[in-house]
Amino acid sequence: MAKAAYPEALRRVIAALAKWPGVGEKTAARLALYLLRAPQEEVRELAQALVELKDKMQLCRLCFAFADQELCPLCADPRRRQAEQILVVADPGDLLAIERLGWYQGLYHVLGGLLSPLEGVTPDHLRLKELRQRLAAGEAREVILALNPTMEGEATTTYISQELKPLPVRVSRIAYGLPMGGDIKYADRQTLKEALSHRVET
Amino acid sequence: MNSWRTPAIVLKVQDYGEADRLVTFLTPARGRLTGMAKHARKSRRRFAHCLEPLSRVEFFLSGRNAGNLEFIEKGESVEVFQEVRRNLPRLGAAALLAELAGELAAPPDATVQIFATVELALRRLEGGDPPGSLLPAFLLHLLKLGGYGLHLDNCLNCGQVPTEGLYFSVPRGVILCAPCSQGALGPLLPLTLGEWKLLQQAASWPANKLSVLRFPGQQRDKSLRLVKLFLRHHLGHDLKSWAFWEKVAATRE
Ligand SMILES: [Zn+2]
Ligand SMILES: [Zn+2]
Repeated sequence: MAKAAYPEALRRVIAALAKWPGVGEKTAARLALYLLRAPQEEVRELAQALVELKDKMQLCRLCFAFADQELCPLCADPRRRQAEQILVVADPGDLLAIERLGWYQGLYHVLGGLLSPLEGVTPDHLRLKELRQRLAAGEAREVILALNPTMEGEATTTYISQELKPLPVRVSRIAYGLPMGGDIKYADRQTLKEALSHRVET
Repeated sequence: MNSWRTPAIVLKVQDYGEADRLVTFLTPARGRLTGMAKHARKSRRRFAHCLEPLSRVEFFLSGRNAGNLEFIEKGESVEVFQEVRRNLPRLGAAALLAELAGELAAPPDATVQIFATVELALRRLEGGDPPGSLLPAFLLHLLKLGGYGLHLDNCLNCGQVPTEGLYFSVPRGVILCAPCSQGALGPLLPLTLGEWKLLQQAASWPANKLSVLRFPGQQRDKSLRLVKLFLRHHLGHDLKSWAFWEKVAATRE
């Protein structure tokens, strides 16, 4: 086995990289050897960035997206607030997928999951109280539900629409141009854009 | 062993690694199974619309399996129960019934009936049967099929048919008349004659007649509490789906 020939320091890096999603032993070894040959500054910068990722990253106080300060860059942006829209997503990955389109100009709210009857996930597991507080504070006049077209996503959409009905906000959900069972994170740009622009009032 | 095709009701779908999905599903022949759907997150063609919890599908399973893990080669959607998905009380009832069916470690001859019962319940919910009545009736029916037959016809101790308030013994799954309940092992759940009659009918009627039964709010809650306590005692844990039923579905029903 060639691996036994690696010194301890190299083995540690390979073992750490091999835990990453989509990275096997072989790829991990290739990446580690690349780092070994890379300039000192490049490796230091990576190490520093990794440490800071864990130390500084927190969740935005308002929308629960990733932030390195109390507010994420989006909530801190006055232009974003002007739209008076909150787009509700299940997790930060969905937020990034929509943000990559560069089309939406309002604020977000990350629920932290979806209702799941069979898994025992109920409304108190999601950040719904926080959403209501934001609406009570007058942050938005429109709520857009952008949840996956799955059983869990549809149940959550139905639940939130019903809960927000008494409030003076317009509630819509994205059109399900996405195939059933599909995932916002893996949708192609065009499909996602269409789903966002054709909204249905709930 | 050659690949085989089976009707299935999907219970749970989890992402596995970068590309695969792990699917738990109910089958008529072998009860609850878990299978790997390779590349299911990318290949929409092989698994179009069929990896959705509580949908009725056909799975093609490869003959090879690794221990308890099946390999799902492809799937076809049969019915997604759109109205059940859109309606939270119906969804809550469907989830509880499907979960219970998966928990029942049934003898092989019962798995066919258990599957048929869950499928029938989903169809009835889709067709508009009130979930608050359908749920307790079908739960009791599933308990019977799973071998947890409740003794509800007369007092187990003295054999008398109750004429007034009686008790359900949670550990034994039987009813006791008031005098015989004295000193009996608890927990004991008091029942009115009306509540008892309904339970008795639900536990003894054939599945296709259960739709006739109506459980008014209070009797619905009482019956569900009885089933919940009984299952907790005998399974050693609560079904996960109770939480959704109690917090979301029951209040909207
Ligand atoms: Zn924010
Ligand atoms: Zn007696």
